[in-house]
Amino acid sequence: MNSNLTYPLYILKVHRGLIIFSMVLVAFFQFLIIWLMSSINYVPIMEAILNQLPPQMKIIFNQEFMNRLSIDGAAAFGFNHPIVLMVLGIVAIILPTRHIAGEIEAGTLELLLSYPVSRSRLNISLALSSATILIAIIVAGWIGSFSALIIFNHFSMEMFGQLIKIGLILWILLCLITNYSLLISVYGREAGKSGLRSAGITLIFYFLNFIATLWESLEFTQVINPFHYYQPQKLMFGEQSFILDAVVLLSATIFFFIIAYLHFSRRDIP
Amino acid sequence: MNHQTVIQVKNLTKYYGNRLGIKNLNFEAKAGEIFGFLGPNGAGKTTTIRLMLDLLKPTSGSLELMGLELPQNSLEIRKRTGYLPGDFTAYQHLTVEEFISFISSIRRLAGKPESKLIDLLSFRNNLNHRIKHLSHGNRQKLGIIQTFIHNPELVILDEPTTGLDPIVQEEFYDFLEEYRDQGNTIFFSSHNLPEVEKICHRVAIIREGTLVALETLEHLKKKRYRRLKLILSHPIPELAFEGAELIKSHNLEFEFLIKGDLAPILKKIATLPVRDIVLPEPDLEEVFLYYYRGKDEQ
Repeated sequence: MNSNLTYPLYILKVHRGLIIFSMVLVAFFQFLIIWLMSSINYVPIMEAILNQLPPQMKIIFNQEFMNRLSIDGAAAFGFNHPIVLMVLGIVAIILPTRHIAGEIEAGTLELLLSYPVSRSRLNISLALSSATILIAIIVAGWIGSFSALIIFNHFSMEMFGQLIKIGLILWILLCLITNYSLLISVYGREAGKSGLRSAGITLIFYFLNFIATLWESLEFTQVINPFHYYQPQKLMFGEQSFILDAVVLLSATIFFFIIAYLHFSRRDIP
Repeated sequence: MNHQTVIQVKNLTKYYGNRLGIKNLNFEAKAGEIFGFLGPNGAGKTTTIRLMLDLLKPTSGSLELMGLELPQNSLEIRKRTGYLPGDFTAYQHLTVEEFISFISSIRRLAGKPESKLIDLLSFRNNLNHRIKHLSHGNRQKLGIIQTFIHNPELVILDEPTTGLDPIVQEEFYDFLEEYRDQGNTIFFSSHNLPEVEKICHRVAIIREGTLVALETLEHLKKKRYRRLKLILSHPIPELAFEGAELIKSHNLEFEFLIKGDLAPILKKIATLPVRDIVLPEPDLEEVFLYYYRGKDEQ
């Protein structure tokens, strides 16, 4: 076996249960959401309910919300559902946390680095393995979406292209989460603490993005919020620039990777 | 550097923030020797080893292993070195065989490595077991196997016999001597004085981050103090021996510190009403306290 693949294959082996679970869950969720939207016509029902609400409440349920009730919106919404984001976020955080801070804590990183393995090779292997695992889960999501769209006769090339773009942006967002978790991990020495910090930051960004869409005073935070650059519904309806979002998220990902890489190359392994 | 010098440590210092790890360490280990590195817990032994493996970055000073400077040649050095950490931990969910295969692949070893140590340590029955299910002693055996799997020129062992039963320990010492006879170098770190005395040629003694002695074993043994505890069956008017210092007495129990030859003292003891006699192995703190007392007093 090529020795460069030894560590990435080990990572895959360690996490195979979580990876398969995430792939099945995301694929099933995507399939289910499109299936439900194909079977029941929610729009008149929801419009009737919304008409009963006071005007202040109606603001929350805006046009974007109504768009979700179409097949396109549902397909996009599936990739933005809190359950899907939570599962993918956990995978994105666990990988660097477990293999840097966790292995420092367990003492296995000391052993691994006593072998002829360079720190840069380790860092790059970890980042590439994480990216591969995350894209595999997103591919499972695509398979779930496309199979449902084909089975229920809603498939179009336009929707195919938009879903590919949404999946790719989601992948870059998750790579960004992985890389700031990697940065937190290379400064840490305990998996639990590093993981909690990464999860905390991710949750803050997620909720801040949600609140900032409702509360104008917090709009200024959007520019530094990674979730602001991931708007699947807007992407689906062509209201958001795929290239711009991808460039911003990718630049931040590379930035965090470089800082983590530099610090990890110099740090002491206790 | 002499081509026979395998480890050369020059003015090596490591601080962790404001806390001292080791200070101005200087020593050399030659090819084909078992070099003992002795010190109590927290003395700086593991810090020195981690610096040798490029796991820690030195505050100042330099290190050369097998003629290669660190950190520039870190990978080449680690390729030719075997290391057994003090508290050996491997990937818990792997089986022993998977772990051996993992390190063989990382080390780019051709074919399936067959270590003589697997049989020597009676470890073959554990090959299919998960590492997390191994006992402490068996985990240590696995640590030893992975250390030697690639026949390294330099072996760094940090408290290697922890958890091994006495028979296996003896077999392991024999293996180390045989391995050394093949021209390899063994850096043997321990806090166990008798163990170091048993197999090492030269010993460096470290305390509170500083090298306090670098001796051959013969020299160490000559200078070493021993404790002698006597329990008398009834009181006698005076109890004293030449070359021995009374350090403790309570009722009929007397404790002496002896430097040099024991024989004349034992001859005199034979004439006394002795109920029991104990010659405890000195622990390291005693070695530091008494062995170097003379030096401090000068």
